[in-house]
Amino acid sequence: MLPITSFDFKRKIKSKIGVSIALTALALLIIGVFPSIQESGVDFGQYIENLPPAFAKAFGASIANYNTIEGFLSIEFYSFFWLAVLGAYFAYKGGSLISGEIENQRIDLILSNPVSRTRIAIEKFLSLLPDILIINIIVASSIYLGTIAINEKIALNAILKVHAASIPFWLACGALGLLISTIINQEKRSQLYAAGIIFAMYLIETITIETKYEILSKLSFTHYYKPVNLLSLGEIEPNNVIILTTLTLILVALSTIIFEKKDIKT
Amino acid sequence: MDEETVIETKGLTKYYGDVKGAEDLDLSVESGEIFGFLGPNGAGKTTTIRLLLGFLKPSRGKAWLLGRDIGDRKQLTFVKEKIGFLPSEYKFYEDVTGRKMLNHFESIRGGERRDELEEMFPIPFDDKIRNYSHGNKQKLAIIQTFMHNPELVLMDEPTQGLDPLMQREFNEFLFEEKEKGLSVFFSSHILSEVRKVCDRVGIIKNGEIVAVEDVEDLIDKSGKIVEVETKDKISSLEFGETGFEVINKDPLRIIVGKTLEVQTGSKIGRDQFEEKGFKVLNRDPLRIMATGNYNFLLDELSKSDIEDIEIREPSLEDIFMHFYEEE
Repeated sequence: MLPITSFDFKRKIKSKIGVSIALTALALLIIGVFPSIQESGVDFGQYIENLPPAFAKAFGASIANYNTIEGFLSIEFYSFFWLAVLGAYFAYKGGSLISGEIENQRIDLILSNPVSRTRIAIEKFLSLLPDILIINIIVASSIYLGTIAINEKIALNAILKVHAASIPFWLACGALGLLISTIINQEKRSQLYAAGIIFAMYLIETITIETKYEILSKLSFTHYYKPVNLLSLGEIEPNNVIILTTLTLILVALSTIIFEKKDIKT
Repeated sequence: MDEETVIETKGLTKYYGDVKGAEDLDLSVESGEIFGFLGPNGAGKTTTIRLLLGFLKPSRGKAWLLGRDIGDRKQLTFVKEKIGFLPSEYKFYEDVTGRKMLNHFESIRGGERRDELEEMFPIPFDDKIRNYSHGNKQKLAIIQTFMHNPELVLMDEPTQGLDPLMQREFNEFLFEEKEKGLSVFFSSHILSEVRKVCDRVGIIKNGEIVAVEDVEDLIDKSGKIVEVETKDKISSLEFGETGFEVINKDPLRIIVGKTLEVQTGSKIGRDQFEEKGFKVLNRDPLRIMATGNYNFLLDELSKSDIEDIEIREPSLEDIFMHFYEEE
């Protein structure tokens, strides 16, 4: 059905497992530290409130809940690693989809197959989806089990919401990577630009929020995925999912147009 | 369009900015033919193949593969089912095994001849491609080129780096496939390689086709190169006067058997050449072939003390320098 997608997926399965293990270890470490933080009785909420508002915002909306496992995980894990680092990671992965094949000259054999360029680009993009699902499943289950192990409990529902909502967000990040990988032929450069843009979006959003430049934060992909809110209280906002999905479709469509028109030199 | 034409180009042109990659190529390759595409490095061979496969968009002109207009993306994708491509660089996914690589290609375009080819070009299929020698990668590339039983195969400098035994095997394989009706477009910069397998050659120079010839005609026209080293200097003048083309004086290098165009005014007549054993092809301008006069050559040479002598077919470089230099 999707030969290129399944080939790419199987080929890179080891790196997926590696990333999942590293993230699981990080999440479990954070969960493991939580009881001692809680015992210390330090009022981190107070501390964070004393920071300049922009910084406080950067730590997430649930500052008041720093002493709960949800708040703690939000701030220590979801609001930065999960959102910014993994967003940049999937943009980085997307950034190699076409450029990697061009730079390594494997593109010649790929293009000699009876498969259109549009289909190649779409199948390559879809190869990100299993990555996204695997990482989500492994990390979500280890966080759930980890919190049980320290006798804290997060609603399974909340965890599912955070993880489900990450899928359209990461797909949008990956689609941005795909677009850049069709424009820039050097794999590493394309990957770094893609990851850099997502990271810059994250920074711009955290800096401009609740300032007169707040409008800028709307340009950031990270504006449409709020793991912190989702974990503590909120519901998935359908608007955000629609915006991210539309963005993804536009970026993938643009990528196929550019790739179709591109000269593949040696 | 003729049904029997497997490759046709009309005014096919590619500029890279101001740089000319290929200009106004008019080519036509017939079904069941092995067509050699000859030219020095940088002449536009790879550009032409990449245009034909749709990797590059032509600046102008058109091309058809197996009767399909490759300017139409749908037709191009469709026709690739019947086309094999052997690139000049063998770039695969290094972290998979040869078998998995071939499984992948088979899943996209079929592999009805895979078993037979795997037997013919055996390699360690269960090793990662990273550990393959150049020769093994080449065999893997050959298998993927032919596994889906293509009607037309495009090869970009295919036998670079094949060991001689392998090369002979590959050539025999090509002949057998040709008998079964395969058409091949084969680029190379080595004439001796092309002449063994090709029926016709197109010669490309600076992005333009300068000649399309039967291989035998090309070789006949181009004559033989004689290189002689003697103890004492031979007067090259004598050879020049008798219609041999002297291309170097010390050591003496002359071309024998080449078709020469000679501008003589009226002084040298046909008879004078025929006396010396030249074959006169045309009188005005005088074109002579110097095939018949090896005796004269050897007589002349035997007067000197020869240290080394070589009579060989011209290389592509020789042909370019002395056959197409006026282009």
